[in-house]
Amino acid sequence: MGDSDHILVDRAVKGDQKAFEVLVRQYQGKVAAVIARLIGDSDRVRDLTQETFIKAYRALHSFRGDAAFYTWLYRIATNTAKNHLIASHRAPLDNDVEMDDVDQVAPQLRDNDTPEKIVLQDELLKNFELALAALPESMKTVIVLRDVHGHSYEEIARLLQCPIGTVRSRIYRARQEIANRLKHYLRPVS
Amino acid sequence: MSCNPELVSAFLDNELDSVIVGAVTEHLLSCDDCVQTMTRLAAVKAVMSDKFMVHDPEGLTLSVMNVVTNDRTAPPSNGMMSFLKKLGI
Ligand SMILES: [Zn+2]
Repeated sequence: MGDSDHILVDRAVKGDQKAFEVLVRQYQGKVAAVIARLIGDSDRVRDLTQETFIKAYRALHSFRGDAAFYTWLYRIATNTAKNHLIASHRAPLDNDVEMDDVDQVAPQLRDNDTPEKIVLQDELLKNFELALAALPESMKTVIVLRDVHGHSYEEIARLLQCPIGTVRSRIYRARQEIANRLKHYLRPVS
Repeated sequence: MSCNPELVSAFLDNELDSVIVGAVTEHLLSCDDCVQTMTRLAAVKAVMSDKFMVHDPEGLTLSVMNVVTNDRTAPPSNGMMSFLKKLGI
């Protein structure tokens, strides 16, 4: 487990809710993406993401630090999505259904999404692609190497033959640029 | 330590030097600006790597924390657990 996860989980278990809040902020996007992939991007993604974190909070004292916190959270998220699919009869009513099976069911489930929701997520992705394309090449390269290919800062620095500090700063500026262009989606829905 | 959004971005990547990770974590626990920055940057990171983004991520955090704050089944601390054990509960 990363040092910061360790510190935050420890403090949250001792009753520091702010520490849990930082974990929520850090991981809610990844959790929502996992759930969306399993159930299709419907209105329920938000509710199920919330449910995942509430379950995690209630079970936090049983979390053992020998696994990564996100791995543990990921399991809660996939189980929450699985239970939702079973409850809405969108997967076999079999408690032993494996998440691999759900993965195979999920693509067809996208038919159940409302057209408005698909348009909204499609529109967001289109704007995201535009924001990414508008970045200077030097920023685009580092952010893709990091977030799409999963390279470490050190690997990127070696690949591009530049200091690690440059990698770190370009990644931050690339994210900030994209956030500015997507600010409409980052704000509360009015 | 003062606000440094670049360190917040590196925090999300688990790329902070072990000597500063504690200080950045402490800062995040006490700075609303930096945790809000973190939420925006994390949303961008998710759309980059997973092609999915929740709308209004700040609102999602607040609704989770609203339930957590009022939760009666909050996780008892280790200290409380051993106290209850001593009492034979
Ligand atoms: Zn700050």
